[in-house]
Amino acid sequence: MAYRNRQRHLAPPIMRGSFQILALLLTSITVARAEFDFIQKVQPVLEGSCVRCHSAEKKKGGLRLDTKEGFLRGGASGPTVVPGDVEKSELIRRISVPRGHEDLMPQEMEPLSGPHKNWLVEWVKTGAKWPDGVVLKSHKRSVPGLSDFRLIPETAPTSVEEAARVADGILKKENTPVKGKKLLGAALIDDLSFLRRVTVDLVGRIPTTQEVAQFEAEDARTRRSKLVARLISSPRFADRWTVFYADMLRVRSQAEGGSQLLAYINRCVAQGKPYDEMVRELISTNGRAEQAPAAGFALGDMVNPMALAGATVQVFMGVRLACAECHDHPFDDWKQKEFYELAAYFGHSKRVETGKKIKTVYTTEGDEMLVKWPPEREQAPKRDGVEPKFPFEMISFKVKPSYISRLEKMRNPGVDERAVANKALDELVSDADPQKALKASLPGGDVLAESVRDGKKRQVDKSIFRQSEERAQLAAHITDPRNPYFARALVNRVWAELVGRGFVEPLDNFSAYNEIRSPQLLQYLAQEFIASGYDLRSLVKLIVLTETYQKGHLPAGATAQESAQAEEAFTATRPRRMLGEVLFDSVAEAGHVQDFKWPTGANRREVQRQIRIPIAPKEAFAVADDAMTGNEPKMMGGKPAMGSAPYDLEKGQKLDFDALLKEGDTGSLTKNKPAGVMISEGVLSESRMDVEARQKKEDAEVEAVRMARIRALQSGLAERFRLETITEVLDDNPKFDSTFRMASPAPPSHFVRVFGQPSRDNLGEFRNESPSLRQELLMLNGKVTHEASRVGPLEPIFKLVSNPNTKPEQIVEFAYLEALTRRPNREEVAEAVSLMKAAETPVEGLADLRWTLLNSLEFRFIP
Amino acid sequence: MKSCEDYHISRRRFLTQCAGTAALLGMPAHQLAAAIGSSHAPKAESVILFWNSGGMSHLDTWDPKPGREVGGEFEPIKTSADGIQISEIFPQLAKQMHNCAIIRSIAGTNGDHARATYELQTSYPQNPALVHPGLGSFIVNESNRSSDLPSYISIGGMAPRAGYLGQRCEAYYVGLPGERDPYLAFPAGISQVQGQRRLEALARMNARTSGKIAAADLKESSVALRDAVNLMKSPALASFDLDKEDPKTLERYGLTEFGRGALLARKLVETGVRFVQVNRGGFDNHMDIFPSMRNHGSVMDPAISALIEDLAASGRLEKTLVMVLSEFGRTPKINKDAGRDHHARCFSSLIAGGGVKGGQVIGSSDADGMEPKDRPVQVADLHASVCHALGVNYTKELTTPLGRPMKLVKEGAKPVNELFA
Repeated sequence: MAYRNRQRHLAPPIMRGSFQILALLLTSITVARAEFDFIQKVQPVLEGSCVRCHSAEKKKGGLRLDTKEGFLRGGASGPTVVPGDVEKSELIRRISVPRGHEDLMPQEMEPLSGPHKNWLVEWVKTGAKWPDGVVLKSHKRSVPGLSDFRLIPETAPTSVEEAARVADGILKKENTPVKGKKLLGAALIDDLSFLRRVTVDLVGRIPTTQEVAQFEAEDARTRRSKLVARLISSPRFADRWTVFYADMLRVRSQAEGGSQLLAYINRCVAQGKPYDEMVRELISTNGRAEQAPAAGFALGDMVNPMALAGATVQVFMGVRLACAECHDHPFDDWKQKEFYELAAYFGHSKRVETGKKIKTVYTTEGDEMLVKWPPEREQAPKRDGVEPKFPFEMISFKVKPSYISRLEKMRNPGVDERAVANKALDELVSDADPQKALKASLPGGDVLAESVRDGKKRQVDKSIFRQSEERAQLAAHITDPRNPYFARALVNRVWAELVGRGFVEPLDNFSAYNEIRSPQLLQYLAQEFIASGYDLRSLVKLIVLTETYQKGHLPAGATAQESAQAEEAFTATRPRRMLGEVLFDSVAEAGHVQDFKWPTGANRREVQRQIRIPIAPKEAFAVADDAMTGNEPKMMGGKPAMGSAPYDLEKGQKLDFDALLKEGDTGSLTKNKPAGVMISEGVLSESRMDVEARQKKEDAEVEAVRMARIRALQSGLAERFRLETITEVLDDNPKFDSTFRMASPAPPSHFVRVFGQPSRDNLGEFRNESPSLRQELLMLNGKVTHEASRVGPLEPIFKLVSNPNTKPEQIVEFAYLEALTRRPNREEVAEAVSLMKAAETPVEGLADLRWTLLNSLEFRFIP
Repeated sequence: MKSCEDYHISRRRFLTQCAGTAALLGMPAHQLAAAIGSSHAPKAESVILFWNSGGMSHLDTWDPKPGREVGGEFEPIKTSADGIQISEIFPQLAKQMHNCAIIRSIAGTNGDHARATYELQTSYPQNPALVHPGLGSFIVNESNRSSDLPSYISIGGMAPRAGYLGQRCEAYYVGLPGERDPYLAFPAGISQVQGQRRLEALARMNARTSGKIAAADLKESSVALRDAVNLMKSPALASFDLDKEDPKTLERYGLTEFGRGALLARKLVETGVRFVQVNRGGFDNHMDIFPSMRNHGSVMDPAISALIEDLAASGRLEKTLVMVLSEFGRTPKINKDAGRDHHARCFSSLIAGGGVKGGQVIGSSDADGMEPKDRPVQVADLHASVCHALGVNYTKELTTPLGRPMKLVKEGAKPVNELFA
């Protein structure tokens, strides 16, 4: 695939000019114009969206749209077009029916965008001219969205603010060709809305009243960018964006190595590890998750080569290849064999499990190639190991693009810029050495470079954690800056996370058959991302500083179609609901329940609750409890997911990320260095003896538990209990931990899951944003909303409400600022005051008001 | 209306959900029978699935092997059905055998807990690219809602996921049977009057927001809110309470969580809940299987027998399919730790009600319960059978959000017709 550099880009407009002059001279201008429109506009749309199913090869509905004759003949539903008559043209009807309609074309991909539809309508209106002899072809394998870079400036921006302006400019120009109906757009949001939006997006909770005050005190011209700078460097940024990566990578705390992987990602974000480096480590690392947490990525798919191949390409490149595992891809052009070749990169890797009572699991390399051709179900007499092969082509160029030179300069300031492109690039992908990749994935790994390198030669042969040369190669291919998918796939996801809609949707489906909206803006952002050294923070900063990010929503009254068009063109933003985690943390923040808001004992009260009294004698259970429930399969544990009483769907299992990255169990090979850096020479050389040592555990203890368990089981009373209501005194003063540092995904009925946290066991699974009855119940009656609404003496608003001189309006204003980051209008103040008056006490009235604010749609949807 | 809460289809779902989801439940019986190609009309309206996780031994429960070395500690006992014997750990259930059928020849394919569970609950093998909905999810997706309560309720453990059917078909979750779900009432200390005042203020506030912004999501959230408030006020909620039950009834079901779960399941289907799954774990008995199974018997026996007895007495058994299932069976060979290991190739299930003819055994295993001897039943046949009992078209094709056509039940599945003969 050719990379078109700027010189070549200049060609089309010149040609267009001469073509027109020529046309004017030779025949009538309209014919030439029509022909021009066909080649420039209609043909690409038809080729991209129609011809793959309606051609000589694949005549769906008996229809061929690749030739003039086919077009005129039509298919099962009659003629495709009636030249000049838009109303009677089946083509136009089919592309215009609403999203979700049975007849909508094209199928199996996004509907056509506004401009593309308009081109086709215009074409039919003007007589549906089809130049003689033109036969359309479907786009085999071409990399989508790289045909045109005219809007992207050659020179590097001098600041991120400038880059944001350039991005806005590109978008504006990309939106110009829209004919016909005018695109609706929204104005920029006001300062306080921006404060709320960007705080929620960058650090995962609403702003505090102190932050509001600080923001408002700043110079109005620079406060937005100052705010962004503050948020970007907040420690909560890493927590918020760990959720982003965890969704993308399908990190499951419950999976083997899942919690370590989560902690590792958190550290990568916190330390600003370049994205490409992180991905190389994820793809190539072997070992035990406790020591080499990046190995958790392969363990998450049970080190299955097929699953890993599908996931790697879909997650990191946004290409859906997984269908090709079982058959040639039905609508893209991937062959099953190519999928097998990709899987072969993982074909020597295996998961090893040792120990029965205390399991140790790690990944390593075996001798046998496990990926064999032909596929097993063909039952061929002989199946051979497959040679790994990367099925994607890198872009090639004569003149090295400046963003790649900028990356090189940044990574390797000494390098001669005139050096051969490829050589420099190989150096860039510095972790092609798997030992090095593994080392770097360790906590404090960078510090260890030398000591590990020294020991490496000696130890590598003895090590049970063999590293994979093939996976390191694959990682190098995927993260190569010339890979046209890698950077764009991430940019697309980050953009969608912030703006509410991706350039490509579904977010992981880059395909010649799936339209990219504003492809040049996407490419520009990708180039800047590469040039920044694949720095997530720079990318996020660039995006939130654009006007595009700062656009409001369309006002009520806009139709669903108008909204969809504006959102797709990024001229207005989509109202996004907060992520479940963010909503929970924001409620806790608004109500000051992340810490105690009552003095100890202030809230003591008597409560009644039911307890269970076992019917069997206590001794029988003393040791047996664990043993009786301990041998459940993980997936369908017999224990209720939320644990036993009290019934609580808002409590999570707290994770200590730092502790997870501190190896606690390496035995003699590990020594602890000062300053908390863990040095683990054993990483590469952990001996079999250590693994075995871990398996031996107090046999006597195990036996005692066993006997107690048998006695309890045989009593026939083991699980019987009576319920009794008891009265107890409770100091009702709860506080709530951040959901960002919780085992995730949470159990299916947990608050954050009910609000859309995905199960993360499904490729291509995204956050569910639909509302549900369960969500409402959790907000209406849940603990966190209830406690956040109550007014405690240790929170700021208490002073206001307990001071007899405070006017009710002031309380209302403070409550609004605290919950909604804005001031109430007159009507709202009046309503709030009367709500507060209806209560028995001012404090209760304020609780009612706060409950209303926290439960409101406005709270939940980002402004 | 579909019975799972169907507020809207997620915006990511750009593809049409399979059109024409006309539920077969509304059809007259003869048409329905014709529609699904069978001579007998479906009778079941609801399902209670007892899910025993860990892999319950078939030999120590429904398929005893007296006189064989593999037989283990338990003696078979006679039942109310002529010629059918089950393990001694189910003395009460034995008296209900005339209402129950046993399948002794399920030919499973997978001995790994997670993968087998997945297959037994969805009919499909696990696939990293797609999550299939569990039985409860696709049953409620295909049937009408007939209660104020959620259509699919899971008691005491996790139900399988709704997969590509989405959040709206996930189970409503009851942690501890008999304990009121605190999320269905205003928090302690909030009176009805105060709660009502809050709801009214909230409605005004939300109306203002919806008046300002164009967003379908806002409207749908309001619908969800309205449904939630209605549920909080619904008299049907009383079915969740067990404290008004006669203590003798509680005693009959056994004073265990499982027993309370079974009782709750009965009450829920009586109010029209479509699918209830009651979960119980602890069957992965690699060690000391006999004391474990004796305990399981003492818990399961009173609960399931009382349930079947009560449903039969009220005439409700005809309309309620009761099924006891596990992800696989256990090895005939007793291992050195006095346990049995995973065995998928042959295991059993107990099924009652919902039009199932009681007092019969379908299929058999060989002398040691190693392999199905005759009438092997494939895993997906079980799902097809449940669909059949309810009149759900198990061959129906749905479309996943990514546009992949997918049969409700795995291709090739057939109902076990003998069940309904």
